[in-house]
Amino acid sequence: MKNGEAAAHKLFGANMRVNKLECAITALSTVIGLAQTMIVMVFGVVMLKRGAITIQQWVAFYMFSGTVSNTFSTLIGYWTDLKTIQGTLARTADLLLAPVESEEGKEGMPERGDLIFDRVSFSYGEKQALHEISFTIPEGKSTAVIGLCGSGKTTSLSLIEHFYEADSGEVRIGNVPVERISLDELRGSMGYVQQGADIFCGTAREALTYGIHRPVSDDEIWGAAEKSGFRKLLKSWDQGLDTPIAAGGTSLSGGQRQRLVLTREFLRDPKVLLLDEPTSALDAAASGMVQDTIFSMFPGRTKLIITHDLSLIGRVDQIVVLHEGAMAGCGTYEQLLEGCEVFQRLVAAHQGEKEAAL
Amino acid sequence: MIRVIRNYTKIFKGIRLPWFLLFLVVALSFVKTHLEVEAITLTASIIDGTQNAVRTEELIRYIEFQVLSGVSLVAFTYISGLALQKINLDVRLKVWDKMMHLPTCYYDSDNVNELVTRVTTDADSAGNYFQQVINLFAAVYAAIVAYQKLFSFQSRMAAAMLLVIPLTLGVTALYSALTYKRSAESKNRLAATMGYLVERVRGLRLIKSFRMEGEEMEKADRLFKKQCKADILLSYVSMFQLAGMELVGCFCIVVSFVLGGRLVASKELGIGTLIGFYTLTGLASVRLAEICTYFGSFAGNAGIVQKIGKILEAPDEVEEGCEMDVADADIHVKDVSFSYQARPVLKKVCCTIPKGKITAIVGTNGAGKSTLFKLLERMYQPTEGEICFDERNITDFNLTSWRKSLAIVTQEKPLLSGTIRENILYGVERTVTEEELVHVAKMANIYEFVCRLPEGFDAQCGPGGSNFSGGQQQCIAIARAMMRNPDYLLLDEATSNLDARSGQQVTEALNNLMKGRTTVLIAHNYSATIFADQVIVLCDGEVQACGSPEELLKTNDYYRTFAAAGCSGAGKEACVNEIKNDKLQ
Repeated sequence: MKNGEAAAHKLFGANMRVNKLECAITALSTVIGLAQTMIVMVFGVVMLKRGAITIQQWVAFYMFSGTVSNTFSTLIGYWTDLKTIQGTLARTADLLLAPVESEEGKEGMPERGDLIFDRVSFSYGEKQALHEISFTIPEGKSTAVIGLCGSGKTTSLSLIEHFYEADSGEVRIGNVPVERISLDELRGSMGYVQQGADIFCGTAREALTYGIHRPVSDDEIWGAAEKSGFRKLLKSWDQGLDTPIAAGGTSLSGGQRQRLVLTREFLRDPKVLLLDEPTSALDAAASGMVQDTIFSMFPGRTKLIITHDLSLIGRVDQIVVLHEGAMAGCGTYEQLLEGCEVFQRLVAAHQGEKEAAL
Repeated sequence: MIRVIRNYTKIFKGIRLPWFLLFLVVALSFVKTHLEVEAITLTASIIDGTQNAVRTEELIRYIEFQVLSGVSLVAFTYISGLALQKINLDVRLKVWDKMMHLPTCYYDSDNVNELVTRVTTDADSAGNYFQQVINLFAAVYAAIVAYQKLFSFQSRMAAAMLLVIPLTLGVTALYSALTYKRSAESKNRLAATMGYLVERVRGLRLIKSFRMEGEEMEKADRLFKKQCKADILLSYVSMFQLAGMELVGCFCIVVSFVLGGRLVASKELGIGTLIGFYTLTGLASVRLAEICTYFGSFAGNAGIVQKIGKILEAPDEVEEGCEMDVADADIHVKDVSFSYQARPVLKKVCCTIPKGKITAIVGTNGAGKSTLFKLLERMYQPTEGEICFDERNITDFNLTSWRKSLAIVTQEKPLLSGTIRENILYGVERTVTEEELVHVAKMANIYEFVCRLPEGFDAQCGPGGSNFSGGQQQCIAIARAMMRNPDYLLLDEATSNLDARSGQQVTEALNNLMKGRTTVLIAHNYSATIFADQVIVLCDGEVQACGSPEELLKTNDYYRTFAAAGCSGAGKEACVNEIKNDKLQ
């Protein structure tokens, strides 16, 4: 209550400052009105006395001066508005002037090719996120990227989709650097699943076909839902595909959300599937089911999975270990367990919990 | 109308109104009216007088009037603004105070974002009521004074001017009705646009990833165009008002100059009086229009005020009850059912939470685990059954003492914006020494981290704690729970979103916190349940099984899969076997 009171009082203070400004403006227009009266009345009477103007002229002048003072107060009003708008407009202008993602001179997505990070460095402003990272994500295989929070995992995903430009080094698909590939082709061939599934509000059909740039038949949707295990839930709804889904999919459980998103990815049929902590918001049972879905629905597809779920790490073909923005290791589970200290520590930390349990 | 006014009065019950200021505002508005009218009369007399001789004292009085009316206008603006803001502040505080004492279920039915506007913009609208009442008074008074003066100038012309009253009232009434409808439409459109943008800006990455920029632009185009159309229609309405007022103005000119001109010609009326009359008709018709506008905005605010009234009338949480005389006892959950908006969440749940022991709750998402917590915290009341502390229903206890004996640590946004110190001491009423703070920080595994920060305990956490990593946020929340030193702990297992190392730190901190306290914990990982003295398996709102972890490993299928899933993929089978063997030995 005390906090609320302080905030409310601050607002009161700010409103009072606005009020004072209004008073100043009123005072100003009063002064203008006064000056005008002086001129019309006093000056007019004197002129009349001298016979410089006729009474008709003076009356007409008096009536016109009313219009003039109105114009003045309108002018003051406009000026105040203008000042207010200037501030807002500056921000809008900044937004409009900011450079947009360019699409010029781009080529198509190569048919085949591994995803290669070649000595990539990247910083957000001052803060370096990635330092000279090199690894290869072989086509058709699954790769996990692991590391502590802030080790640069999500940043590397963003570089693949070219949301950011690498400071040095390059990310390539086959032989083609990603910045040379048209964004349509590049992002169109990537699937993206993240921890809190991205679902806009709308019907189930809209959610399932979002981002698919071709007509999709209901049969096709049902077929995909069958594969992802989403069909059962979809069937249980009276309105089927027309069931409304709340923004962010909040009407669904975590596991259901991920299944919906995976069904969508299946329909989009991406060449590369990027998964950013797909299971971390789920309990163990739901996590297991989602993992099964990922591996059974997209066999032979390049998969890049960011995770700290050890059970998921055990299922991939290759693991990349990042530590404070630098490479700490790359290899299979067994190789890393033998040769990579950071990986050993990460696994030990997990197993530590389990051993304590046993 | 009467209902609207009654709604208003409901809100203002129990609010300290700045009566003195309000009185001043009314008095000033009356003074202002008289000054305005007198100035016009003087103008008339000066113009008439100059035809014979200039009277300097009239001119001086005229200037005095102008200065006075200027001063009174500034004073009026300032004081009425001050009064309005004071009322707004009080209404805001009252609504917020009320909102904090409402039972949690109140927040399920109404949209939470909408409730926030009750305290912000809606409170303002309610405060405007007073300004409108005063303005209405002032407008009625001014219209009467103006007409009185008109009659004193020339009674036949004034009688003709009476026709302006129905004309003005008609135009303004129509205008108010149209504005109400159109501005509601425009506001709805704006809300739709805002809702769309908020959602899409958050999901911008998805739009880019899926190359949906074109499709989204089309959608936005449709929405923005609809909004634009609504706004254009709204501006047409004000055009209508302008036309109406122009019509009234014409009528005034016709009466003043056609009728008045004839009277001037026959020397029955001075030219100055005619001009004074004409100026006064303008003032009178403006006041008449104001009366209508204020009535219109009464109706417009009625909806908002009703909503505030609804909040203020809703029953508070039951606060009264006896103090908790026993520090520790078993908590019995007896046949508790709970429905959330007609959807059953818990069905006849029966269990005991033994004192001084650790109880773990496991179950799938949506099994009712967090709901059980909310019932224990008395955020909700069970639909059926009761929760007993020892032998007494927990609702018998005073709410303050009951909630003080509990501390809850969840994984969702545990911190408020402010410094680390403020967050740790949140809800602690006694003074805490620096040594105690350091001790708690050490126990919660944050002391090292705090020492590394240049500001130490005074470092800002950012909104929702976003300046720190998930693990650090959790540990600060744990320190806060320790500071409160509760008898009971409700933990929503805090490590599942964290990487291994932060998870370990949080687990250590939690273990320190759990020492010597009755703990109920929602477990997402097998490892968290192993320390438990008792595990409750919740499934679809029912207790499927209850017992020690060892027993459940043998008897309960769900718990077994739960345990298995907690092991890494590689060597999963081995791990499960290991667990089994270990437990069997």
